[in-house]
Amino acid sequence: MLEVKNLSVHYRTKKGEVSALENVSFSLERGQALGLVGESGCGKTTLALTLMRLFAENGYIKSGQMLFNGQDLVTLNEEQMRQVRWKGISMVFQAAMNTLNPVYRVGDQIIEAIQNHESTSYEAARARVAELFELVGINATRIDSYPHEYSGGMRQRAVIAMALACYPALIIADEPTTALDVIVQDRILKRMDELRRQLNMAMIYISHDIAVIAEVSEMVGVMYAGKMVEFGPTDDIFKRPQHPYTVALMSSFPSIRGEKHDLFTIPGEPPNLLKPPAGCRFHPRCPYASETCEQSEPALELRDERHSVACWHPVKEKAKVRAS
Amino acid sequence: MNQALPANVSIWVQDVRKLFPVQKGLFVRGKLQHVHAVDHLDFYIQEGESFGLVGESGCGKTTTGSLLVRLLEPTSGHILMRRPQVRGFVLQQGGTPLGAISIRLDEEKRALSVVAADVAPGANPRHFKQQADVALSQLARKPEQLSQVKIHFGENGRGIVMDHISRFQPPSAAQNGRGAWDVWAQRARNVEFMDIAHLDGAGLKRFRRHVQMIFQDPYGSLNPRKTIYDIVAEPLKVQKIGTLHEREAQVMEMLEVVGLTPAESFMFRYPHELSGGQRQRVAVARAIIVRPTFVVADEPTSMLDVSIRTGVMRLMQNLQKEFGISYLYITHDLAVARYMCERIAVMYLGKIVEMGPTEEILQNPLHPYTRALISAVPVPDPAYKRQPIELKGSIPKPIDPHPRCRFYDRCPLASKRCEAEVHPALVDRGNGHFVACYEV
Repeated sequence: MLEVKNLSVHYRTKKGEVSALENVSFSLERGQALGLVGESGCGKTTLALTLMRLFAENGYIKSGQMLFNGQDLVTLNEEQMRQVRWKGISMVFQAAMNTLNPVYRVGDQIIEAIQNHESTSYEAARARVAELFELVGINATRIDSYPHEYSGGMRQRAVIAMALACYPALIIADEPTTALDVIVQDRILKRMDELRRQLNMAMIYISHDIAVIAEVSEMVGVMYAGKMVEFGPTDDIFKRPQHPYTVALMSSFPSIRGEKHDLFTIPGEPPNLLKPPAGCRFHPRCPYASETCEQSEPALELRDERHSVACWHPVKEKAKVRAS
Repeated sequence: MNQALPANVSIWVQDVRKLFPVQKGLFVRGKLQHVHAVDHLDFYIQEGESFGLVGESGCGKTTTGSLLVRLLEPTSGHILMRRPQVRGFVLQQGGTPLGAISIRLDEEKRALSVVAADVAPGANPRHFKQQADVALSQLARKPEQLSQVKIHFGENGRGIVMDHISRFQPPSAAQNGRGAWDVWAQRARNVEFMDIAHLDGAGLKRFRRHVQMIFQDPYGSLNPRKTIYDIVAEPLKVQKIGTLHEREAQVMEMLEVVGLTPAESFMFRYPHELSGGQRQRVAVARAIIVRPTFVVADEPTSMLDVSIRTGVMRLMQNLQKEFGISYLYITHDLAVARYMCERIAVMYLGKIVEMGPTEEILQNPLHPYTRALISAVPVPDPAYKRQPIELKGSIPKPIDPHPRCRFYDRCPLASKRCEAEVHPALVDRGNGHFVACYEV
């Protein structure tokens, strides 16, 4: 349904060009849940915004294709893109609960979104909002409340209802629960997962929290410094991570379950994307780095059936990932 | 709460409350309402211990941290803090107290001095003095052992530590004999710690030398117009410690300690030139430079990326070992608490509902809220299937709450008893595992 091919996105800044995404490729099937994981600045949010063609002014697509149901989103003009947004692809932004307009009733804000994209009557749109509220678990009597009358978790659910408003084929959720407490997070993630199955929507979850990604996604893409370094089925990525960065990320992540092993520290800091390192972008921090890694860039290649890795020296031995 | 107090308590919070008045409209009349942000807290933190406060937003964990460094003043209750380098103990012979002495170790002169001494009623003063001299001369030979001196006495094995240049008030003659132990214990306790709950002015400033805070947001907590040197040296300036030259040397040393090397290259840079992890290291250096005995760390790693976070966590642990610091570690992340804290307390609506050794609480939670909280934490292993416990509703606001259990409305175990009785007290279920619940 979605196929991204060799996508590169750059930002022009006073100090030079920032290569925020470089040659990113992946695909997503209908109804599938993909988790994108990586640290701040790795390009996860840029990727999401690029799919929606919502750039900061200084950003542009340098090269690549984004095929959505056969249509290349890169080539669409603004008006055509408007048709895709909401109906085709919609997005739940980071800290989205603060994106509701405080002076309008929550229900009216969603009704407005529906009427902007479809020629529906107010009554029909309102009935749809009631339906959506039930779906995300808000009592339909709260349609006429203002955002401040909602708790943080309810506002987040209202924003999810808004993203669902036109029953899109794909929802991109950028850190949808990062600002929420765990109990609320758990409820919302569960609800989103149910909705995805019920409505057969594809989802892209973006998170820095590999525990959240492990629980909600079927496929995982690991990003580092604007590159997709590993991509594959969730079980595979977690059981047999092959990119040294993925291995390091997983062994530095604490868990409340399983054996309490020593947490790994990745030396150094993520690179400055104004001057990304030559060769593999992870090589300055990589324990396996060789001369090859310094000079030439590894491509994302299929290692087995569905699991691809961009590394000259993929980790072969069973990596030390904590067992529950 | 009936907690047996270990010997090396650093901070001892007794029955602390903090109420905030609720602002009403201009013309609204009626009784003033209060938010019960922190209600009847009781806990202690040992020297060199990392004590975690966990819970969801609004549970009062940050308020507790602010109270302990006295950014806020408690509405009522005591916050007792031990001043470093002072130890006091009761000399005893065959189970009877002879008297009490408290001594101070002067680190620079490497000398011991007696701060206060008092003979027990009914004991022979000369005998007491002899025993005190013996004890002192033993200690004087190895003053470095002073910090390890633990002399237990009393029926519940409380170690007595005095901290004050004041003399005991001896118990009255009527209290001699059996009851005298308790009276002595009480008296000694009253002077062993300094109550910081209501300090102000110079006293508060002196106290601040011993406590520091590390904040969550390394972008907001460092003044962008000051150099790293200015930021780290600030507490020394405020406390008037050292000359300019000495401060410079200390800042250099501290930057090396927190891993910002070479220190010269960081000294005169500004916060915006550093990454999030480096900034948080600066915040740690600033907190540690006055050699505090106690540090409140409020979500210190929550804004950092995973690969950077582990480094800062390890740094904090190493500093703790090196300088013997006690931490109050505030976090919403139970997995981080598991790695950072020896004991944790779970808070809900201003109350501690469960407290004990971290691993014990995580693997064997008793309170229904703790169970639900732990069951909601995602596990970074797709093969692990959690069994989440659903809770009704969401966290209410603690405005003049009903005196019964704060968790009553959402609790899956709520009973008639929970409805009728007041909020349950924390009760020890063994191994220092405390729970406030009638039904578990």
